[in-house]
Amino acid sequence: MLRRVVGSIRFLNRVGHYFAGAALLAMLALTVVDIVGRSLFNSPLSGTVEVTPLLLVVVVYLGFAHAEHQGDHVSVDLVYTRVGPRAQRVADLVARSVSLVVLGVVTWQLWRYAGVQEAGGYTTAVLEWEIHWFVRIAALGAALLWLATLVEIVAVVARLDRQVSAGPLTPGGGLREGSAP
Amino acid sequence: MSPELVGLLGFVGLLTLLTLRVPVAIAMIAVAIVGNARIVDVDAALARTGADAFQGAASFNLSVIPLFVLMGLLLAAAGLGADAYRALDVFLWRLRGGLAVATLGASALFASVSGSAVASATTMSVVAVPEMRKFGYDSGLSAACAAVGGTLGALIPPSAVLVLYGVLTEEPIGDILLAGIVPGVMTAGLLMITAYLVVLRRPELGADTSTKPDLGHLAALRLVWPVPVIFAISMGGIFYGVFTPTEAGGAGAALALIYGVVTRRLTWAGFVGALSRSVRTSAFIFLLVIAGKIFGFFLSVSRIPFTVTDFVGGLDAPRWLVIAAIFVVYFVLGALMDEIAILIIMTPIVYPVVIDLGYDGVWFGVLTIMMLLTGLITPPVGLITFVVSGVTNIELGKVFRATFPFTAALSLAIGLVIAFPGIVVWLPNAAG
Repeated sequence: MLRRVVGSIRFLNRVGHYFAGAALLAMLALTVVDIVGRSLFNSPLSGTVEVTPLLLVVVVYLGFAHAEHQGDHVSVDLVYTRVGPRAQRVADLVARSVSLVVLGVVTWQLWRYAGVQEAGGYTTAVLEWEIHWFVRIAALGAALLWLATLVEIVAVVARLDRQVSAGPLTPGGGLREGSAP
Repeated sequence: MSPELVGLLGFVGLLTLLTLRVPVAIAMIAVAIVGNARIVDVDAALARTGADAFQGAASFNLSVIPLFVLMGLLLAAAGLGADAYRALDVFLWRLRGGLAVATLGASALFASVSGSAVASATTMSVVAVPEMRKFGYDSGLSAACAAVGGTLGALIPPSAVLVLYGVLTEEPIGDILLAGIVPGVMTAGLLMITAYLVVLRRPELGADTSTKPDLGHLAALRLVWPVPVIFAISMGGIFYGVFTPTEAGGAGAALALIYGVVTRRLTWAGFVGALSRSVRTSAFIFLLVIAGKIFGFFLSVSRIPFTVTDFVGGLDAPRWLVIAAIFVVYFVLGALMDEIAILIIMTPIVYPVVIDLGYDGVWFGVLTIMMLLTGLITPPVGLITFVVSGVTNIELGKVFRATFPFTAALSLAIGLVIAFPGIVVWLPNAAG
């Protein structure tokens, strides 16, 4: 049962990740069409500059949760790798609980900010897209990241999969490869 | 409690959370919310968090980062990193330690079309390290070359961290990217010379058995032509003012995709993998960017940057000493966390100090990246070294030991950039 719930949430977040990938491709296509239109036909795509940041929000926020499942976080291992496995599990749980609280607050405040945007009737300048929808996507992404964090806590506590509680042999818990551009 | 004291306690709190292994971005947001609530008030702090969490990602300037990352990963998936290595081997195989030099050279070539240090390092770990070992090179040296070469990915544009510095300081991003070119090439040269000298001094680390590659010089050049073409179009576009940095990223990623499709070297799986990796890498970077935006507000209300600038200004210390002190701080922090986190936390504090001393912001950007890169390969954190060690299964300690001569070379490059700022600022100043 638990395993199935965890599995479906991971699947859900993988789907979110595909949307993020599609948004990245859309961003690429938009930029290219704008360049080609401007240089060949002297007609740039209007609104590129205002849509690109909104697409970036989609890429980033819908990309978070899957990255969390994959463990793409940076954390500091100075003390962690020098203590025993039990202390490590406790530290893991404390760290992930702090994450839950912080992400909960961020999700809540993003949703509130979406309300502010909607009440103010804010839109983009040229295409007049309502900005609050994108803030809501961000809130959704933050909520999914919160859920992903929770799921990974459950996985640690219930020892659902081994690699989560890997010890000092994997620096950063194998969490490092997604980093450092 | 004075804002400055809250700021100071905030740093103590940050370090405590980091020690408990709370992810850096989460720790920054936690400290910022609590600190802002203490200095301003609770509701304002919370509202600010929501606004910054959105605005931090909704930035046109930052949209170039996923595009640069995608460009490098697409080209890597199409095997261009391997091509660069094979091509250089054709020219260098007679040289003692030629493969080590070729690994670094290929890293530099790949860096000029890739925005990511880790993408470069991973590519070279897969491509070059097995080849070097086959010809009897020391395993530590082989891995060290891949790791050190990877750092060039962040210095030679396109580079995500250079963009990040530009956004954090509001320096022109195009200038910052162009500024990385000359120091990047210089550093690559110094690293290649270092590799040659290392093998010259300790021949047992290198190989005396290298075979003539089965490629002609012309065929080798044909392998790597996309590198200069893509670089010239994207960076040349910025130089001549034809492209904004985002457009340069878009053009580069599109060319990478076209190259992969036309030459049929980019498989569907490779494409999906590169796209997925780009999303994950970007998500990871932007979590830190968003945290940096929230934390940055906390820093400014705590007045820490002003206090530090005042304090340093009042010291009347020679300018170079301040820069040296910053280097030491970055080096020590490099033992605690990765370069993006350091960049995001420290730049708002250090940048005003450096500008106050009369230094050029673009120059300091490149210098910052070079200082952080040294940390990337230095123990105990040395992120890139971990990645390379993980990919190649070569013992971490061995890789770290073998990176020491290269750390010296990087320090020399930093010294040169400090002594001769023209190395950095000449090209952006010449741009149209």
